[in-house]
Amino acid sequence: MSKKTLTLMSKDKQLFNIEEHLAVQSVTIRNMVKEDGASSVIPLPRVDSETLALVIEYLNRQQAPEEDEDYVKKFVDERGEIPTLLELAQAALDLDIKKLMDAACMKVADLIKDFTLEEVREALRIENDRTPEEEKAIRDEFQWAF
Amino acid sequence: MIRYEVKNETESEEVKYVCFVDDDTFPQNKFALPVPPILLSLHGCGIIDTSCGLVCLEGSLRKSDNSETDMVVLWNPSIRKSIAIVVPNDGPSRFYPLVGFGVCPETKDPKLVKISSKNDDDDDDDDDGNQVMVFTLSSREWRCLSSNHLPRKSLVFDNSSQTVIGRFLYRFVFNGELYLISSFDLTNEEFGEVPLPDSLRRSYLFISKLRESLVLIDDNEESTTEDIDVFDIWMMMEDGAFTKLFIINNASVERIIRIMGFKKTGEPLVEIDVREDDNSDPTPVLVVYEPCLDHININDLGICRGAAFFAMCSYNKSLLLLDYDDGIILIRNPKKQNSLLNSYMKMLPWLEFDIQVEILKRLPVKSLIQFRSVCKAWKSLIDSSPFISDHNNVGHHPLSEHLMIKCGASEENYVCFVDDDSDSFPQNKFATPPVPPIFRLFWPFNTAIHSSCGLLCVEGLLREPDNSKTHMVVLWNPSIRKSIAIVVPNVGAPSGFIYAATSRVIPFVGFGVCPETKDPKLIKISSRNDDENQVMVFTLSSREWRCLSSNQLPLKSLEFKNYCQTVIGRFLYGLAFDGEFYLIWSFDLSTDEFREVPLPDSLRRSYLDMSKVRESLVLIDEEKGHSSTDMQVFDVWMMMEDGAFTKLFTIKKASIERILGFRKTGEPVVEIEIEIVDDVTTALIGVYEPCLDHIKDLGICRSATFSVMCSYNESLLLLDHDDDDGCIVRAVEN
Repeated sequence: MSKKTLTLMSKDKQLFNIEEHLAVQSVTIRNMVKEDGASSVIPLPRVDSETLALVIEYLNRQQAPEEDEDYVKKFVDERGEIPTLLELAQAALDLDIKKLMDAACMKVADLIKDFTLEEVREALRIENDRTPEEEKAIRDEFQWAF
Repeated sequence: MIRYEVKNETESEEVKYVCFVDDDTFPQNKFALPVPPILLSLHGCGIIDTSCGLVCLEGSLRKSDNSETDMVVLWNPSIRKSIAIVVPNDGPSRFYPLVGFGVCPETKDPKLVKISSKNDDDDDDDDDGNQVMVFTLSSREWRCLSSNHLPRKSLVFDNSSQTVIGRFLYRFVFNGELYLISSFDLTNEEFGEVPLPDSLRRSYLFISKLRESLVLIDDNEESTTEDIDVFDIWMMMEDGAFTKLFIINNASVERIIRIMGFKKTGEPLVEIDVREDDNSDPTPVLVVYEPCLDHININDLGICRGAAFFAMCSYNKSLLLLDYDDGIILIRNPKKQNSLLNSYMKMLPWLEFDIQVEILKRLPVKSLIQFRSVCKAWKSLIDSSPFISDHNNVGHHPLSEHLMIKCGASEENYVCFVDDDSDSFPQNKFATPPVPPIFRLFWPFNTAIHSSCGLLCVEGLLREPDNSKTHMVVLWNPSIRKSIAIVVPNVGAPSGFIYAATSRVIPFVGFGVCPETKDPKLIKISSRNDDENQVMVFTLSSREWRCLSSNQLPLKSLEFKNYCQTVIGRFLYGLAFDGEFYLIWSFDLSTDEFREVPLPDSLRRSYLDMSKVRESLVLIDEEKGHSSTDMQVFDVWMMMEDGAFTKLFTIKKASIERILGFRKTGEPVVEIEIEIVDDVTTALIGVYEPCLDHIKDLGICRSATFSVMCSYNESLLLLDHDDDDGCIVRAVEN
C-alpha cells in the first residue's frame, strides 16, 4: 500500500507535505481526513510557516514509544523562546496534538512562573486593564505572595 | 451613551469599524474597535441590527471544500465579546436565510428568528408557507415555530432592513401586491401586522428608528427629478398611526443616495456621492445632514467607502454576553452534524485565551496567586470554581508534593519539605506558611493532621470567651494561606462538657474532599449509648451538618478509632473495633456509603496505623512483645488494586519508635527516641532508607508531644470562599 501524502498550507500560503499516517496524530486533521478524504490542500489559517515547519518536524519524529516523552520534552526545550513556544502551543492546541500542546504549555509555565507581573504581560502580550489602585487592591488580598 | 458604528470597506477591501460617541461633541469623539476575529473570516458580512447593546452581524464562512455556512455573530463591542452562531441551512436554498435579531427586554435573552421563504417554483401546496425557526442564546438551540404564527403564509420577507423597538422586531414585507410591516414579539414569539396608510403600501420603504420610535423612509424614487432628492420620513406614533415627520428636500450639489439612520438628535446620517470633477467616478461619503440648514459638511465624519455598502447602527453600552465564553455555537440536533465544520472552527482565530488557560493550569499555586493581578480576565479565571477544581488534578506540577511535619505544640513546630524525586531531599525545606490565626485560640489535638486534595484538616478544641471548649476542625490550605474553622456539633454531650482525654467520648471526625465535586466533607460519628453510632455529614458547599441514617453503617456496635484515617481517591478509610476484632471501613465521599474492607485475619487482632504510599492504602502493624530484645518490628502492608493486602516490607530496627508516614518514594518517615530525661522524651525525626538500613536525619527534634506528619499537594481549594482567613462556621444542625 502506497503511503498517502497530505498537503498543509500555512497562513502565509506555504505548502508542506506530510504522510497521512503521521499527520493524523493531529485529531483535527484526522477528523478532516475522515470527513472528506481531504484530497485537496488543508488550510491552516492560523499557523505561520515557521511554526508549521516545527509541527511537521515533530509529527515526523521516529521515536520508540518509550522514548517519546523525553523526545517531546527535549523538542520544546530546544525552542526555549517564549514567542516560538506560544505559537507552537497555539498550533498544537488548534490541531489537537495533545502531547505537544502539554509539553509546550508546561515549558512556557516553567519559564514564566517566577516572572514579575510586568514580565508576564510582556511575554504573553496581555494588556493591564486595571488602574494602579485597582491592581494594588487585588495584590493586597494576598500580600504574602509578593 | 450611544455610539454609531460604521462599516467601511476601503478599496483594499479592508473592513473597518468606527465608532462615534453620540453626544454634543459629535463627531469629535471617535474611536476604532478591535473586531472579533471571526468577522474577518466571513464573506458578505453585514450588520443586521442592534438591540440592548449587542450588535448582530451576518455573513458566510467559506470552508475548505468551498461550501459556505451561514453564520450570525453577536458582538458586544463594549466588553469586546462575541459569539458566533451557525444558522441551520435547510436544503439548497437560493437565498441567504433571512435572520432577524432582537434581545427580549424582559429576559435579556438574545433571540434570532430565521424565516426561509419557500421557493417560488415550489409546487402550489403552500402548506408550510414560511418556515420559522427561533434561536435563543440561553438554550443554544434552534427550534421550529409552527407557521400559523405568521400573519400570512405567502409573504415575501425582504432581508434588507429590520429594527427592534422595545419587545418588537419590525420588518418590511411584501405580500405579492402591497407592502406591509410585520412585527414579531420577542417575548411571546407571535407575529403581527402593523397597519400602514395605503399611500405607504405601494413602494419599498427603508425601515429604521429614531430614539425609540419606528421610522419609515420613503425615497420617492418615481417622483424625484434629476436635481433634487426628496425623502419623506414617517414616524409611528404611540397610537400606532403614522405621521410624516419631515421631508428632506435637498437641493445642494451633493446627491443624497441613501439615508443610513439617525443620530439621537434626529439628524440623519446619509450617504452622498462626491465628485472631484465631472469626469471622475463618484466617491461615496458618509455625512450628517442638517435638515434645518439644508447643510452637509463633507469632511464631517471623514469616512468614505469602497465597493461595499455602508452599514450603520447605534448601540448602548451593556454587559450582555459577559457570562458567555467567546466561541461558536454549532447547530445541535440537525440532520447531519458536520464535524468537518467543527474541526475547521477550531482553527479560527479565537483561541488566544484558551492557550493562556492551558498555560495557567500548569503554573504553581504561588505564581497563580500573583498572576491574579495580571489582568481582569486572569483573575476571574483563576478565581472560578472550574479552574480551582481542574488545577488540582495531578500531573501538572512536578514539584508540588509537600510533607508537613508538626513536632510540637507551638506555631514554630510546623516544618515543610518539598517531597521531590531529586537527591536534594531533605534540603528543600521551605518556610512553613504561618498557621491559621485561629490556632491562637485553639488547642490542636496532637494526634493527627489529615490531608485531601491539598487541604489539611486539623482537629482540636477552641477556647470560647466564657472558657468553655468547643470541638472543631480547621480546614487549612497552606499553599494559599487560607483556612476555615468548622464547629463540630455536640449532640448528646452534657452542656459545658469538657472533653476528657479518653477517646471514647470525643466523637470521631473524618475528613475528605470529594474528588468529583472538590467539595470538602466532614463526617462525625458519635458513639452514643454504645450501641448506636450516629453519623452526621458536613459539606462546605452547604455549610450544614445533616444526619445520615445509621443503617448505612455495616455494624452498629463499632468503636471508631479517632485520628486513624486516610483518603484515597473517593474513599475515606478508617479503623474500627467491633469488641473482638479490628476492621477497616471505607466511606464513599461521592455517595456517602459505608463499607467494610476485608482484612486478612492476621491483621484483625491488633491496633493498626494507617497511611498511604502514593495512592495506595498502607497499614502499619507494630509487632509488640515480638522478641526479648529492644528490636522494634513494623510490618507494612499495602492494599493492592484487587483489594487484597500484601506485606510490602518489614522494618526491624532498634531505634525506631514510630512510623509517621511515607515519602512518595515509599521511604518511611520515622521517629527515633534518643533520650528520656525526667520523663520528657526527646526524639529525632528522619527518613529510613530500607535498602541501606540507614536513617537520614531531617534535622527536626521533637519535644514533649507526639509528632505528626502529612503529605499534601498544592491546590487552590478555598480560594473561592469569600470568608476571611480563619472564619468560623458555626453550622446549624439539621
